[in-house]
Amino acid sequence: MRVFLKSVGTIARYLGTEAREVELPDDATLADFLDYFGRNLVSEVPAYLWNEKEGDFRGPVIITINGKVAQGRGTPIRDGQELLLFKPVVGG
Amino acid sequence: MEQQPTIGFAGQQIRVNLDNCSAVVEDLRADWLPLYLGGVGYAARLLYEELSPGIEPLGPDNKLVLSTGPLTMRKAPGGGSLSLCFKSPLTSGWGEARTGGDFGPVLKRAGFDQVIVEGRSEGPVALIIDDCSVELRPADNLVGKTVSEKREILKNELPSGDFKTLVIGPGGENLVRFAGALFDDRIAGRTGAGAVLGSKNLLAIAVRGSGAVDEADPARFTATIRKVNGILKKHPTTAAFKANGTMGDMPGNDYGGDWPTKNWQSNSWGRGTEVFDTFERHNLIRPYACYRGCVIRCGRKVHVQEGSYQTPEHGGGEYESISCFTAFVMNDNVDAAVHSTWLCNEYGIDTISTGSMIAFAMECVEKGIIPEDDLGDLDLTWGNSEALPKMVRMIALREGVGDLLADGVKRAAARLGEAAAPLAVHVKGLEGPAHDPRSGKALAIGYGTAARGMCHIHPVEAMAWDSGKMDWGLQEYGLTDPETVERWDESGKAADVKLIQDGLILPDIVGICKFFMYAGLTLDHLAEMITALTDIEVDGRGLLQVGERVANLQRLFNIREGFTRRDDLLPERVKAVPSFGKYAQERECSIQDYEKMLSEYYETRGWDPETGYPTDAKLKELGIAR
Repeated sequence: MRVFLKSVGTIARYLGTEAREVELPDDATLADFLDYFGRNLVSEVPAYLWNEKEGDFRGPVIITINGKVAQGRGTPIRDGQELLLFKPVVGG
Repeated sequence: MEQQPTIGFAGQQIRVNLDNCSAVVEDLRADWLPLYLGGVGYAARLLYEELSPGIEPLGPDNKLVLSTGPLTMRKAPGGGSLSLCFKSPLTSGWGEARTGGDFGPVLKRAGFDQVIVEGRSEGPVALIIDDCSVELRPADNLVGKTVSEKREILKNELPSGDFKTLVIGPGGENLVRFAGALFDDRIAGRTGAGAVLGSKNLLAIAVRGSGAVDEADPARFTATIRKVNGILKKHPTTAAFKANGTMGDMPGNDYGGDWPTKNWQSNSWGRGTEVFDTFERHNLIRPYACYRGCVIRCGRKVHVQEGSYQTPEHGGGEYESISCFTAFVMNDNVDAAVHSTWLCNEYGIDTISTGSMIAFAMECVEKGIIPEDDLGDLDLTWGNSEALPKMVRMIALREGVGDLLADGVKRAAARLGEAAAPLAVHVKGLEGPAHDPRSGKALAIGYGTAARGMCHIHPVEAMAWDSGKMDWGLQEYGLTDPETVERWDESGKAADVKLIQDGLILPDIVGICKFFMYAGLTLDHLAEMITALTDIEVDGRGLLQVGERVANLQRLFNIREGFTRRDDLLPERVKAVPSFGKYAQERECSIQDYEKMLSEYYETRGWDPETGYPTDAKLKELGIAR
């Protein structure tokens, strides 16, 4: 199935603001997307953003699926949905 | 029926006079409320009227105001908040410090919006506010005790019930100029509130309250809160705060040149990811909320389980604190950083200023400005983790070189002589925190013009706009879209900096946690809640005018104390090309014409372009009498 990946803010510096199509298996979950990112897109972002050991983003990178914050690696993804990567400022 | 003028407020303030051990309940100044609302606004109005210029901050003529705002209540988003305002013993100018937690809401439930502390007690005392009953009692048994020890004593002495406490530590008792006031696991840390309380011999305040304020339009108030909470709970920034707390910014800040390193010799160390990963894996226990009902839960419970830096579970592990005990001092031992920041809390001294002083001392020793013979067996080599907890104790107890450092970097550098001056990183006497204007240059103006000194959060961390691409919902009010702004541009940012300052001072005025404005709470929401609660009709633009008014009044406070344009300047090394690290060759990140940025800002503010003094026309526009 196909989903659309976008990013905003500081992550958009590296991935751009345009949506890009991502092919994922049918019945994919967030874990499948993270696996895809680690294999195909990780070279486009600085090393600090990706925790290779965990196979996940490092720090407060939030993924929304059709506008809703994804709640863990088991969150299901459906065909045609928009995944948005966003790294907010959380500093005090 | 006519609404009472202070509906939505408790309507009362307590004036505590420590000279004669009295406490008088007064009406809140209702005429100030539409103009200043509360929090740092109300306190600025009060202190500008009641303090004479030139008073000694550590003397009996200083006053300290514990100030809530209209939204300081558990049910309001971010409402677990309290500001302390005073003349700062560190800067001799406007002093303010904010804490999260339940103290503010409980003070209001006790029936008081403000507590004004004045004079000086002959002997050590504690102030107990138990609903309508107010008592000053001897506190000799608290003298010299750590913060935890003081809390335990109070817990055993007070009647059972939900008392919330403020205590100062030995640092405050010893008049360390950057001593703070401690509230449960939080601190009102910066600019020396703890020293002011220590100078007055007021070692603790405890409050319990069971009342509630009347609401002008309860249905509308509740409905707005429900709407806002719905937005907050779904906002990605809420999820981000809960996931990683403020430490979440560390790897990105290091990468982006927003991590002051080695006493500001660089803006990036290259080890932020390592420190963050170690902290998450090894020191973090879980998130927590500082007040009951917070949906953001940015707090971290942390510990060091074993070893020479063993530290019990406590609320800590904040970005600023850990940064000041790692990158500032080149220490890569995260256990030592967690332990030392816990000690800062136990002794009651601000982690940012303390880490800054250690970094300053390390560089002074390296350059022979502080002779090694003066240190005894203390080894202040860069990165020596063992020195960190020792230095915290020495500063808090004013032992050895700690006595020099306990007065802050401006005074320490003056005592050490000319060679130390370039190493002293401060504005107005307040040491710089862990954000670097060489990441986003809007912060240069932010640092120069913040009323309390070199501060990133009172009122706003401006680099979060031009580098971090945040807008806090302010584009609706004219803020330039941050996505269209270059972080290293210098010109053309003045109007935006003014707007975000006027906007982000508002949480400190209305009495809520600022992070809620990072997570979807807007000025319109604030206006709606205030109007529904208090019957003071206000909209977003009106709130911005309140913010501008308070910013100008705080500036007048400083000008009256003798501050000039010179006090808005930045240290040279904060502007310079970093001397090592990722941005070492990057001239573009250096601040090249700060004077021009400052003049542009003065003009935008309606201040005299030469002196930075608010003009008569501006003050008239804002309704401020000079």
